[in-house]
Amino acid sequence: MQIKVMDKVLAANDVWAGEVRKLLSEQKIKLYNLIGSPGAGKTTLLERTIDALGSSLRIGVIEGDIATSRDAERIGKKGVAVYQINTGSTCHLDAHMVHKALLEILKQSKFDLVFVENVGNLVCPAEFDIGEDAKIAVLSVTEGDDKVEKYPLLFSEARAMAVTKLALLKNTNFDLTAAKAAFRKLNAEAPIFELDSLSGEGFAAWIDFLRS
Amino acid sequence: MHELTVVQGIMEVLERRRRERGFRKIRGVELVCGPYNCLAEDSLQFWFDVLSSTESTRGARLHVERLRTIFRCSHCRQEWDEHPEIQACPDCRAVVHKIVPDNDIFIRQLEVE
Repeated sequence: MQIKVMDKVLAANDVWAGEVRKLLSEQKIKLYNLIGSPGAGKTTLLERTIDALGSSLRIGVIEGDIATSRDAERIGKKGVAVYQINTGSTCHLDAHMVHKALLEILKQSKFDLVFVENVGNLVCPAEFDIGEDAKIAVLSVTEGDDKVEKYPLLFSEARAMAVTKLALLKNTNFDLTAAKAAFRKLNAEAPIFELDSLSGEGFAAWIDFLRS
Repeated sequence: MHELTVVQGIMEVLERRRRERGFRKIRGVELVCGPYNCLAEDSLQFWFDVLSSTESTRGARLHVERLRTIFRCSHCRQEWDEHPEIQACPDCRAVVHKIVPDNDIFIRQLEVE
């Protein structure tokens, strides 16, 4: 006998993602989920973003790593409220972890904008809804222009792509046009930001996007 | 994808449905997934067999269908695969819609006794 069900399998995470969204709505917070490889430049991007946003918005950061609080320490030096999640072995953050971290960070302050810097990984973080307003795909020019096609889930779901380390482009064979075209094939509308966090190149458009 | 996590999710759904519908044994589970998050069927079957601790699920076969992005004419309903990109139907000139399946994993159907 056949029974038609249409049951979602990963429902447990979705329940918590719903709780995160409820909390964000109550607190009037926008949440961005930064996803990229280890070394893509996520933390440096955040440091520069915090500088560029200045005190115009109340910012919080949730850091996700397997081990160490090195990233949280860097963000802490910017005078911004930060909470470090150490997953121990899990390669991604899930909604339950982020909900708990939000409750912790809200003990420190109120926020307009919270950034989650996910565990360095182009694969698994894209599979777990953490209740974010937008996933931001972070890809550096030193990683190869084939990565967009190789990791389609992230790039198709992202609401923006941040291409980082632009100053190094001349030292690589990264084909920026090809990478952007590959992104457009997967993602018709998300904006693409070409950034160099160390110099601040390209940040005006990026900051406008974050504020909107 | 984390096949083990997915199998744990499947087991939870199967247990809930078994309690609701009262069937004795599950023979088959039909799953669907989106184009970009698909599961390796043999790996899924492996973990399912490992986690099957009760008679009701032991021996059940899993099947995974990967849904594709398609282009469909809004008027004459002709369909095309992802390549090439088209916006107007070559036959009736109506608008062609791009239909992208969800990247979620669903259990579509159960084969039970």
